[in-house]
Amino acid sequence: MRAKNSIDPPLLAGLIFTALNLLNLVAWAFGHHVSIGFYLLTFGLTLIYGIWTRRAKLLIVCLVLVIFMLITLNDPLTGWDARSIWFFHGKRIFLHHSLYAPLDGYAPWTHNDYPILVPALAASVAATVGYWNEVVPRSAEVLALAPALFFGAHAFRSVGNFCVWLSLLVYVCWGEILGGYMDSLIAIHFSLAVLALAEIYRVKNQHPDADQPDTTPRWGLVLSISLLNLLLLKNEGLALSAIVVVCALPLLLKDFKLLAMSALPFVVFAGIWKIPVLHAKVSTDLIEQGGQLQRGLQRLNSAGDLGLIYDSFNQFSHWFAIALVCLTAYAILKRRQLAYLLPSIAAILAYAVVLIAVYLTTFHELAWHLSTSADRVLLTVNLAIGTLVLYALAEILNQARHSPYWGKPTPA
Amino acid sequence: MIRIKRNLSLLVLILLASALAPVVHDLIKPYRLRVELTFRHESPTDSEVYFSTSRKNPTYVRSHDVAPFVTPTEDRNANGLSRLVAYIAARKPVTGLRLDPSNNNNQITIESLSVHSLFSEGKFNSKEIESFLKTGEGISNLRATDTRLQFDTIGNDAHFSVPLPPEITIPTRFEAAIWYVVSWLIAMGMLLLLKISVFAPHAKLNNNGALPIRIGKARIYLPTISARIYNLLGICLLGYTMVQFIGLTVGMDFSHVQKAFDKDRISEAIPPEVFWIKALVNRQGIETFVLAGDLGRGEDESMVFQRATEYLYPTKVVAHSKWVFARADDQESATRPDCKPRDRQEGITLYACEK
Repeated sequence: MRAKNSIDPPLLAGLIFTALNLLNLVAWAFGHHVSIGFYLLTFGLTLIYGIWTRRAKLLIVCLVLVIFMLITLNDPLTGWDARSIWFFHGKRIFLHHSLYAPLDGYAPWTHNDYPILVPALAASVAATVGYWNEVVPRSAEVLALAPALFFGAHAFRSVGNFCVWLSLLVYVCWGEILGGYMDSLIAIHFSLAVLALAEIYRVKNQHPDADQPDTTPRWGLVLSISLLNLLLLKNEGLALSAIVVVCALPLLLKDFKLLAMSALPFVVFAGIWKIPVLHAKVSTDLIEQGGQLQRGLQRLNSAGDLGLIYDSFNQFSHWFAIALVCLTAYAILKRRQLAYLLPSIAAILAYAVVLIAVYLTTFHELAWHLSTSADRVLLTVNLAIGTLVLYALAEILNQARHSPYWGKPTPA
Repeated sequence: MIRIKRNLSLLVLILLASALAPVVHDLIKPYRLRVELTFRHESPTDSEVYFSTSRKNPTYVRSHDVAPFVTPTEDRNANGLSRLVAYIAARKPVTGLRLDPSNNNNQITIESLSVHSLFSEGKFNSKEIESFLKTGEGISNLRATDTRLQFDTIGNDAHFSVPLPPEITIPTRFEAAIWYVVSWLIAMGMLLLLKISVFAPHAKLNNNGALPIRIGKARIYLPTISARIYNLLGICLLGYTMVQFIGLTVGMDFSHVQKAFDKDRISEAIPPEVFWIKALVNRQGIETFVLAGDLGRGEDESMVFQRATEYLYPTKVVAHSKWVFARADDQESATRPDCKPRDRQEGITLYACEK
């Protein structure tokens, strides 16, 4: 999507924020933390650079982050899971000076195995101000959001498209984005991952003589970081990452660098979190209960249960599903030009299937489980579809702009 | 001939965009509201908010016109009341609400109800809410106290309707027109994209920013907006989105930010019982405790249990702790021979138990 091969400032800003987040996790593993001053310094430098060079997208991201920060600092957290799971883990990390404090077996109903990117950030905010209160650690949500917004600024070339994407993000994630839940962050990173996937396929499939630079390394980086964030945000991230990697497999098998970049997040995730979790013998209740296959088969034979799942999906994703059907049909019809969209579409569909499988096999009462989670988990599907449609439209226009038939009659 | 074909093509596009605009308008659901209900409820997550867009009958709701993102705070303020926030996105101006406070027999207290749109808000006083409740279904034993209304819900479909005031329901003509123009522009943009990709995949914008497309033997130029205008429109869209987001999440009120660094900035998020337990924990230097009766019912269903677990930490909930917190009127704890009352803070008594 980009004409020059130099590093894009939003990409650089996103990389620095990601590096700080990762460093913060590693530091907490050893009882230390990254001061929030480093984040503020990065933010300040980005803002100054944006003003100096008049880069609209950098300034827009900075402005949005400031607004989000003010909103989070305005009120204490109230969401059930936000308090009982994510920020409770953050409090424990802060009080015990250890990333692995939640693994001591206390209060298993708070899902101690859940990944800890945002809790560790919340702990760092508290460590920086010197105490834990009910408001300031909330700003961790904005710190976690920052790299995703900068990567979005990199992904969408025009300011107009980026603004439309940001608006879409806010509209789709509306009540959840600053509510202390991880679902919005998961949705954004999955959207970036499917977008990176499409872009890498597009670049790899373009004609070798095409006058465009190979942007695979930088999009590989975006893909890799999106996978890392997915893994470190929530358990669902593991399924999402695996889906993206499977859809990228034809590329990965041909490109060792890309393979390494895609494998690295899993290694980091395993090293920092999953292996200690397994060692502490902490696991999720969804798996612990067993009997998934039997429940799944029972619900598959129940028209009422299938109807409940359909109603929920229809309620929250109706128009997005229609958009995905249109995009898929169009990509198949114009597969010579748009085949690169198909792996990303497959990734979104695969995740929708995974969600259906989770609801079919849940040990909770199905109606309760759907009513308390469907709106949140479908954010991922909805935002990914919206992002891919926007990307496809931008690319179609881009193809028209870069046609060699300047001012000549269109060929028949 | 070419001129006629060109004009005809544009006319067809304009007509198609006009036909498509209402669909786009419905898709973006431009009319948005935030509903806030302050109430006392045993399980606030059972609450649902439906809305009506019927001008003739604001109490008529359809089952799929339900607000997503109904977020009861599950936490009580100092008066023991929870706050429920529901966001509504509708394709027409919302004229009425239906609140389903509970799906089983319950006792509920309502203190306030307000509805906020981007530029206006409607607050209902207790007399108005009382009149809504009187016409509700599955609601009985309605009684009013100073500023609150108490009632019982019966059955699994208790509900009451709230017709909204005109300042909320009637958008200005300017606002309605803006949304239709935006919808038309989006529709036109989509059609142009479709036309470009289907009929002119190789065409490029000419020097005047127009797109040459060949239809039959004629070559026509479709007017397109320049990149700068598109960027400007994108920034306007984002600006409007953010204003709407801020307006509906914090009501344009950032006055609490200055209190963000207060160490005790917790009053709105914690049930009063947990405050009282905290006072006892501090006074007695307790490190572990158990919650008795309904305070500790279940592992993850009791709000007091959940908030006590995380708010009182590092003081821990441990099953066999000698320190037991019970409601002051909890007879079972008071009559246990192995437990002796040690201290009391408002509605909570601390017992020291042998077993």
